[in-house]
Amino acid sequence: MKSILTIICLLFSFFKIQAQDDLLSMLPDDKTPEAVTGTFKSTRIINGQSIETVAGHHLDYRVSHRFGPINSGSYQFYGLDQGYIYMGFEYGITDNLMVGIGRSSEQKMLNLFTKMRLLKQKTNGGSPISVTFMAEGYADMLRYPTEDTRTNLSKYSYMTQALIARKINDKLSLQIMPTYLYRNRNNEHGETNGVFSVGLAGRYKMTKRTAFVGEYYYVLPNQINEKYKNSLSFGFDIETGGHVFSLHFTNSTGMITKQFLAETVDTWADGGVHFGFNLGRSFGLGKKYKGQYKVPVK
Amino acid sequence: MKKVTLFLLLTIAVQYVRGQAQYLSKTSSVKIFSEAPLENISAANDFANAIIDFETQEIVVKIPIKKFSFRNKLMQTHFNENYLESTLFPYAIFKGFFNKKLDLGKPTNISISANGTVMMHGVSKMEIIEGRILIDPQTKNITLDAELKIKLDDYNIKVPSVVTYKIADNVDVSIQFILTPFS
Repeated sequence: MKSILTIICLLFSFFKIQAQDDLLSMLPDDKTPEAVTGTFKSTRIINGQSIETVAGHHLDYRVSHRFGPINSGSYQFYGLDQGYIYMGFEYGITDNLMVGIGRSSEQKMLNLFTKMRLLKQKTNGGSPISVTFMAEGYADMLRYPTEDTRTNLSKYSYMTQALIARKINDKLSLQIMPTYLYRNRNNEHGETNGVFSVGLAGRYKMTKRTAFVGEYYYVLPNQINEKYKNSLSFGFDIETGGHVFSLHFTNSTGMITKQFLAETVDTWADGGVHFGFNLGRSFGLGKKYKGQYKVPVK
Repeated sequence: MKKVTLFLLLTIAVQYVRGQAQYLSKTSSVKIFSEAPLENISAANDFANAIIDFETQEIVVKIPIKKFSFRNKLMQTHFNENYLESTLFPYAIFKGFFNKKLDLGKPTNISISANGTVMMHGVSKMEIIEGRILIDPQTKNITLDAELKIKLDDYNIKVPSVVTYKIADNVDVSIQFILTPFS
């Protein structure tokens, strides 16, 4: 009899505990691994590529400018008299695959590239890093004097890159990018056609819409002429709605990998720094975006 | 002895009834819509959960912010990174009580309101949410519909002046749940 009573008491206390259970705690937590977004703000960090690709069925229009070196003095208005432009369109075929085409005023160079996200960093025990594969081809469109005896093939170069990044926390993202560039024709006698290099980049978010970015490409020794320096850049990203503005200082004039990697001649040490900016505007393309952009009524 | 057994059975029965009075969501749909002069923005989320205890008339809704899907992926990134800050505040939660006592035994289709707190973006605020409840005692299905306006300013969601023509001050939220008995 007593034991039964004890059981009842136990049961009661058990019910009591159950009844006290908060309704909220009975709802399941969201435990599915979720892809980490916004490791970087755009498809470029400064000059080089980031792991980000353009979202599926979105078109990105990019314009970049680099001015002349600041140490060129007041006669050149500290570099602002000279300007180089890069213009490009980038399209996301899917969320993980994009293609891009661009044109630089320097060397009248045309570039065509594709980027594929192989691995995405995920929360809740998913992959700790993101990996993106990048391949690019370049065509030099300059007219060379006929006595230069250049073949058409010599105008082409190719580049392939693995972009590996981790968004360490809400503010800090780091990226490492082993890069291989192959030029059909080198610039100086004694240079190798293939150039191995490793890049390092990072972003530190200061406010919700502004971030500080840095990028450095280290070219492995004994490959390119000594007059060419490693590219080092620092910048500031500002995001407003569909636009990303990026203002920066860099010692490279080139805005595409072939140029800033193997053809940077200025150095930070003697003030050979260029001011520059990148602008990007993203559009959604296709039927399902119809009616999303309205015409302003005045 | 018999009395004790009876008592035991009764307590179990009470517990059973209590268990029957709790309903958990089976399917859910949360949609947000912002209409502004330059752009319309909409997003949908099918991963919300709700639980109702008809004994206490309490309702709890939990919406994972990261699961909102936008057609424009850039908007989705901005929504998570700049506006709702979903890594810091992963859920929007409503905890409240219905204003009417409901009888689960008879078919019902009435408008109802719930009075409680919305917790979102690190801000808690009292809200009265108007909705409609449909009880089908045969299939034991309960359908809950609600619509509300969320004033972004109330939840400390700041819209920069350059995009004020693209984002409404008040965002419409429509919610639907189908709930079944919790076991």
